[in-house]
Amino acid sequence: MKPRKIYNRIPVFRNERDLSRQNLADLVGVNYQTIGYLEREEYNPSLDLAFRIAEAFGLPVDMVFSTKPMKPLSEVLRDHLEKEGD
Amino acid sequence: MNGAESLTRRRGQVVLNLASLFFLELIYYGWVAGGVHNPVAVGLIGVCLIGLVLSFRPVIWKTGLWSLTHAKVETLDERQVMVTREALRYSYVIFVPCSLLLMFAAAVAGNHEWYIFDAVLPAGLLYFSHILPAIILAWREKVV
Repeated sequence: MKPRKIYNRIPVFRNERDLSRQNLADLVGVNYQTIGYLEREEYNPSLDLAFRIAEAFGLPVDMVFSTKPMKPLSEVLRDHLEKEGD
Repeated sequence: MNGAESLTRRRGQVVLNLASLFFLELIYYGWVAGGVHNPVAVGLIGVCLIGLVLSFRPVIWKTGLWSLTHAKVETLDERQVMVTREALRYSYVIFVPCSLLLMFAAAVAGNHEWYIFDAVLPAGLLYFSHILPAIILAWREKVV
Protein backbone atom coordinates (compact mmCIF):
# COMPACT_ATOMS: atom_id res chain seq x y z
CA MET A 1 0.00 0.00 0.00
CA LYS A 2 1.40 3.36 -1.03
CA PRO A 3 1.38 5.74 1.95
CA ARG A 4 -0.50 9.02 1.66
CA LYS A 5 1.38 12.27 2.01
CA ILE A 6 0.98 13.83 5.45
CA TYR A 7 0.95 17.62 5.49
CA ASN A 8 1.99 19.59 8.55
CA ARG A 9 2.48 23.01 10.11
CA ILE A 10 5.64 22.16 12.02
CA PRO A 11 7.71 25.08 10.57
CA VAL A 12 4.98 27.59 11.51
CA PHE A 13 4.62 26.41 15.11
CA ARG A 14 8.35 25.93 15.53
CA ASN A 15 9.09 29.48 14.35
CA GLU A 16 6.28 30.89 16.51
CA ARG A 17 7.90 29.31 19.55
CA ASP A 18 11.40 30.37 18.45
CA LEU A 19 12.63 26.78 18.50
CA SER A 20 15.49 25.54 16.36
CA ARG A 21 15.22 22.17 14.63
CA GLN A 22 17.68 20.84 17.17
CA ASN A 23 15.53 22.17 20.08
CA LEU A 24 12.41 20.50 18.73
CA ALA A 25 14.33 17.32 17.93
CA ASP A 26 15.57 17.18 21.53
CA LEU A 27 12.03 17.75 22.83
CA VAL A 28 10.56 14.86 20.83
CA GLY A 29 13.62 12.58 20.89
CA VAL A 30 14.63 12.39 17.23
CA ASN A 31 17.57 13.51 15.11
CA TYR A 32 17.40 17.14 13.91
CA GLN A 33 17.58 15.96 10.30
CA THR A 34 14.32 14.08 10.85
CA ILE A 35 12.66 17.39 11.76
CA GLY A 36 13.95 18.79 8.46
CA TYR A 37 12.53 15.84 6.53
CA LEU A 38 9.18 16.28 8.33
CA GLU A 39 9.08 20.02 7.59
CA ARG A 40 9.75 19.41 3.90
CA GLU A 41 6.99 16.76 4.03
CA GLU A 42 9.39 14.15 2.71
CA TYR A 43 8.75 11.78 5.59
CA ASN A 44 5.50 10.68 7.23
CA PRO A 45 5.85 10.40 11.01
CA SER A 46 4.57 7.45 13.03
CA LEU A 47 1.45 8.08 15.11
CA ASP A 48 3.61 8.18 18.23
CA LEU A 49 5.96 10.82 16.78
CA ALA A 50 3.03 12.88 15.47
CA PHE A 51 1.53 12.95 18.98
CA ARG A 52 4.89 13.78 20.56
CA ILE A 53 5.34 16.74 18.19
CA ALA A 54 1.77 17.98 18.81
CA GLU A 55 2.33 17.65 22.57
CA ALA A 56 5.59 19.58 22.30
CA PHE A 57 3.60 22.44 20.75
CA GLY A 58 0.74 21.98 23.24
CA LEU A 59 -1.76 21.58 20.40
CA PRO A 60 -4.17 18.88 19.21
CA VAL A 61 -2.59 16.60 16.62
CA ASP A 62 -5.07 17.60 13.88
CA MET A 63 -3.87 21.21 14.12
CA VAL A 64 -0.34 20.11 13.30
CA PHE A 65 -0.89 17.23 10.86
CA SER A 66 -3.39 16.54 8.11
CA THR A 67 -3.86 14.25 5.14
CA LYS A 68 -5.01 17.24 3.08
CA PRO A 69 -2.96 20.35 2.23
CA MET A 70 -3.25 22.71 5.20
CA LYS A 71 -4.56 26.24 4.90
CA PRO A 72 -2.42 29.06 6.32
CA LEU A 73 -3.43 29.79 9.92
CA SER A 74 -4.44 33.36 8.97
CA GLU A 75 -7.00 31.91 6.52
CA VAL A 76 -8.29 29.47 9.15
CA LEU A 77 -8.68 32.35 11.60
CA ARG A 78 -10.47 34.53 9.03
CA ASP A 79 -12.90 31.68 8.19
CA HIS A 80 -13.50 31.16 11.90
CA LEU A 81 -14.18 34.86 12.50
CA GLU A 82 -16.50 35.01 9.49
CA LYS A 83 -18.41 31.99 10.81
CA GLU A 84 -18.69 33.62 14.23
CA GLY A 85 -19.92 36.84 12.64
CA ASP A 86 -22.78 35.06 10.81
CA MET B 1 26.10 24.93 -0.44
CA ASN B 2 22.46 24.01 -0.99
CA GLY B 3 20.96 20.52 -0.67
CA ALA B 4 21.06 19.74 -4.41
CA GLU B 5 24.72 20.82 -4.75
CA SER B 6 25.64 18.84 -1.67
CA LEU B 7 23.88 15.73 -3.01
CA THR B 8 25.58 16.04 -6.41
CA ARG B 9 28.96 16.46 -4.75
CA ARG B 10 28.31 13.51 -2.43
CA ARG B 11 27.26 11.31 -5.36
CA GLY B 12 30.43 12.31 -7.21
CA GLN B 13 32.48 11.19 -4.21
CA VAL B 14 30.56 7.89 -4.08
CA VAL B 15 31.36 7.27 -7.75
CA LEU B 16 35.02 8.18 -7.14
CA ASN B 17 35.21 5.78 -4.17
CA LEU B 18 33.71 2.83 -6.02
CA ALA B 19 35.64 3.55 -9.23
CA SER B 20 38.91 3.76 -7.23
CA LEU B 21 38.19 0.38 -5.62
CA PHE B 22 37.24 -1.23 -8.94
CA PHE B 23 40.27 0.08 -10.84
CA LEU B 24 42.59 -0.76 -7.95
CA GLU B 25 41.51 -4.42 -8.12
CA LEU B 26 41.53 -4.42 -11.92
CA ILE B 27 45.03 -2.96 -12.22
CA TYR B 28 46.36 -5.14 -9.42
CA TYR B 29 45.08 -8.40 -10.92
CA GLY B 30 45.71 -7.25 -14.49
CA TRP B 31 49.37 -6.42 -14.09
CA VAL B 32 50.95 -6.34 -10.66
CA ALA B 33 49.79 -9.67 -9.22
CA GLY B 34 50.92 -11.47 -12.39
CA GLY B 35 54.49 -10.42 -11.71
CA VAL B 36 54.59 -7.61 -14.25
CA HIS B 37 56.35 -4.82 -12.37
CA ASN B 38 55.20 -2.00 -14.53
CA PRO B 39 55.89 1.33 -12.78
CA VAL B 40 52.88 2.90 -14.51
CA ALA B 41 50.60 0.20 -13.07
CA VAL B 42 52.07 0.66 -9.60
CA GLY B 43 51.61 4.42 -9.95
CA LEU B 44 48.00 3.93 -11.02
CA ILE B 45 47.38 1.75 -7.96
CA GLY B 46 48.77 4.60 -5.86
CA VAL B 47 46.38 7.03 -7.58
CA CYS B 48 43.46 4.65 -6.89
CA LEU B 49 44.44 4.38 -3.23
CA ILE B 50 44.56 8.17 -2.94
CA GLY B 51 41.15 8.42 -4.63
CA LEU B 52 39.78 5.81 -2.24
CA VAL B 53 41.03 7.61 0.87
CA LEU B 54 40.12 11.11 -0.34
CA SER B 55 36.54 10.13 -1.17
CA PHE B 56 36.09 7.94 1.91
CA ARG B 57 36.74 10.75 4.38
CA PRO B 58 34.10 13.31 3.31
CA VAL B 59 31.37 10.96 2.14
CA ILE B 60 31.45 8.24 4.76
CA TRP B 61 33.51 9.27 7.76
CA LYS B 62 32.68 12.97 8.19
CA THR B 63 28.96 12.58 7.45
CA GLY B 64 28.61 9.95 10.18
CA LEU B 65 26.94 7.57 7.72
CA TRP B 66 29.57 4.97 8.61
CA SER B 67 28.27 4.81 12.18
CA LEU B 68 24.60 4.84 11.18
CA THR B 69 24.67 1.30 9.82
CA HIS B 70 26.69 0.08 12.80
CA ALA B 71 24.68 1.80 15.53
CA LYS B 72 22.30 0.07 17.91
CA VAL B 73 18.65 0.41 16.87
CA GLU B 74 17.80 2.08 20.21
CA THR B 75 20.15 4.97 19.40
CA LEU B 76 18.43 5.77 16.09
CA ASP B 77 15.09 7.51 15.53
CA GLU B 78 12.29 5.98 13.47
CA ARG B 79 13.32 7.63 10.17
CA GLN B 80 16.96 6.64 10.64
CA VAL B 81 15.91 3.04 11.36
CA MET B 82 13.78 3.04 8.21
CA VAL B 83 16.46 4.47 5.88
CA THR B 84 19.17 2.26 7.38
CA ARG B 85 17.00 -0.82 6.91
CA GLU B 86 16.37 0.16 3.29
CA ALA B 87 20.11 0.73 2.73
CA LEU B 88 20.91 -2.71 4.19
CA ARG B 89 18.28 -4.31 1.96
CA TYR B 90 19.76 -2.67 -1.15
CA SER B 91 23.25 -3.69 0.01
CA TYR B 92 22.16 -7.30 0.21
CA VAL B 93 20.60 -7.09 -3.26
CA ILE B 94 23.83 -5.63 -4.70
CA PHE B 95 26.42 -7.61 -2.76
CA VAL B 96 25.04 -11.12 -3.26
CA PRO B 97 25.13 -11.06 -7.10
CA CYS B 98 28.60 -9.44 -7.01
CA SER B 99 29.90 -12.21 -4.73
CA LEU B 100 28.25 -14.95 -6.78
CA LEU B 101 29.76 -13.51 -9.95
CA LEU B 102 33.23 -13.46 -8.40
CA MET B 103 32.81 -17.03 -7.10
CA PHE B 104 31.71 -18.12 -10.56
CA ALA B 105 34.70 -16.35 -12.14
CA ALA B 106 37.04 -18.00 -9.63
CA ALA B 107 35.52 -21.42 -10.37
CA VAL B 108 35.99 -20.93 -14.11
CA ALA B 109 39.48 -19.44 -13.85
CA GLY B 110 40.65 -21.71 -11.03
CA ASN B 111 42.27 -24.32 -13.31
CA HIS B 112 44.35 -21.84 -15.27
CA GLU B 113 47.95 -21.18 -14.29
CA TRP B 114 47.46 -17.40 -14.50
CA TYR B 115 44.79 -17.57 -11.81
CA ILE B 116 45.89 -15.77 -8.67
CA PHE B 117 44.09 -15.67 -5.37
CA ASP B 118 45.57 -13.50 -2.66
CA ALA B 119 44.43 -11.14 0.09
CA VAL B 120 43.71 -8.13 -2.14
CA LEU B 121 40.39 -9.39 -3.52
CA PRO B 122 38.94 -10.52 -0.13
CA ALA B 123 40.16 -7.24 1.40
CA GLY B 124 38.42 -5.31 -1.37
CA LEU B 125 35.24 -7.34 -0.91
CA LEU B 126 35.35 -6.83 2.84
CA TYR B 127 35.75 -3.08 2.37
CA PHE B 128 32.97 -3.06 -0.24
CA SER B 129 30.54 -5.00 1.99
CA HIS B 130 31.33 -2.69 4.91
CA ILE B 131 30.86 0.61 3.12
CA LEU B 132 28.02 -0.42 0.83
CA PRO B 133 25.12 0.51 3.17
CA ALA B 134 26.76 3.86 4.00
CA ILE B 135 27.39 4.52 0.31
CA ILE B 136 23.73 3.79 -0.50
CA LEU B 137 22.69 6.21 2.26
CA ALA B 138 25.08 8.83 0.90
CA TRP B 139 23.59 8.35 -2.56
CA ARG B 140 19.94 8.48 -1.49
CA GLU B 141 19.74 10.87 1.48
CA LYS B 142 19.04 14.47 0.49
CA VAL B 143 20.60 15.89 3.63
CA VAL B 144 23.19 14.20 5.86
